[in-house]
Amino acid sequence: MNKDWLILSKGHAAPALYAVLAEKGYIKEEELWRIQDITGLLQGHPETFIPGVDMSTGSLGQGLSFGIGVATGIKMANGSGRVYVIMGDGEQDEGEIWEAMTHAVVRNLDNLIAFIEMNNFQLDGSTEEIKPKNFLPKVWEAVGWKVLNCDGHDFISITNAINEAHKASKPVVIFAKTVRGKGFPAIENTHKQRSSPDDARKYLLNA
Amino acid sequence: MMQGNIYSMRETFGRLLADLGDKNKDLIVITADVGDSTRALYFREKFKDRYFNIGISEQDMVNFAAGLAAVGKNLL
Repeated sequence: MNKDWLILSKGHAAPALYAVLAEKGYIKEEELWRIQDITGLLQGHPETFIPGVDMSTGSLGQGLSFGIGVATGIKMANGSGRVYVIMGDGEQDEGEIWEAMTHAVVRNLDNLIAFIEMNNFQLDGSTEEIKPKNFLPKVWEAVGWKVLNCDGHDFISITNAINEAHKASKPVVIFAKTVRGKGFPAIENTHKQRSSPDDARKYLLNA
Repeated sequence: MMQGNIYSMRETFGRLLADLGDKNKDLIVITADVGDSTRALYFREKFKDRYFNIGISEQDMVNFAAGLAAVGKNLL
C-alpha cells in the first residue's frame, strides 16, 4: 500500500519500460536484445511475470480504470503509494477513457497521476488525419483534472511536472509532448512501430 | 430460512449480499448505476464506504475492480 505503481497503459511502448527495468536491475540487460523472441522473457507488451511490471497492459483504454482501482484501494487503506498511468494520444479515442476520467474526479484521487504522450501519431497514421487530439487538455480540465504539460524527452521537465503534480489535491494529467521514434532516423516522426533488432544494433553501434 | 415468504431473486441477492459484508471485511460492491434495481443498495445501507456506484460505465467497472483486486480487495 505504500509502494508506487506504474501502469504502462500504452503497452506497445514496452521496450522503453524494459530499458528502465534493465537499468534498475529488475531484468538482465541481455534480455533487451531478445524482445519479442518467442523464447524470450520480454514480449511485445508488458506482462506481470516480468520482474518490475505492475500490470499486464496493451489493450488500450484499460490502464486508467485499473489505476483508479489501485489508487482507491490504497486510499481505503490509508497507504502512501501513488499510481502513475501512462497513456498515448491515440489511446484517447477509446470510450473507456471517458468513463475513467469522469470517475477519477469523483473519487478525489490525489494519489493518481496520468500521463498522455502527445506524439501526434496513432497506429495507421497521424492523429491530425485520423482523429485530432488538440482539444484533449481542455476536456480533461473541464472534467475536473489538474492539467500540466512537459517535454516528454526532457527528464528535468518530466520531473518538474511530477513534483508539481504531487502538490495537487486532485487527480493530475500531464501532457507530455514527444516526437515519435526520436533519435532513430528510420522511424523518427513517422507512424512506423519498430525496426528489426539487427537494424537497431547496427544503428546503435554506429551512433 | 424464508418460511412463509417468497422473495424475488434480486431481493434475495441484495439481502445475502448485505449479510456477506459482515463476514468479509474486504468485500466491495461496485455497480454501474443499477444499485436500486439489483438491490445491491442493501449493501450500501450497511457498508457505505465499501460500495461504489461508478455511474453508467461498465467497461470502467471491470478494470476498476481489477485494480482493487490487485491490492487485496474482493469485488462484486
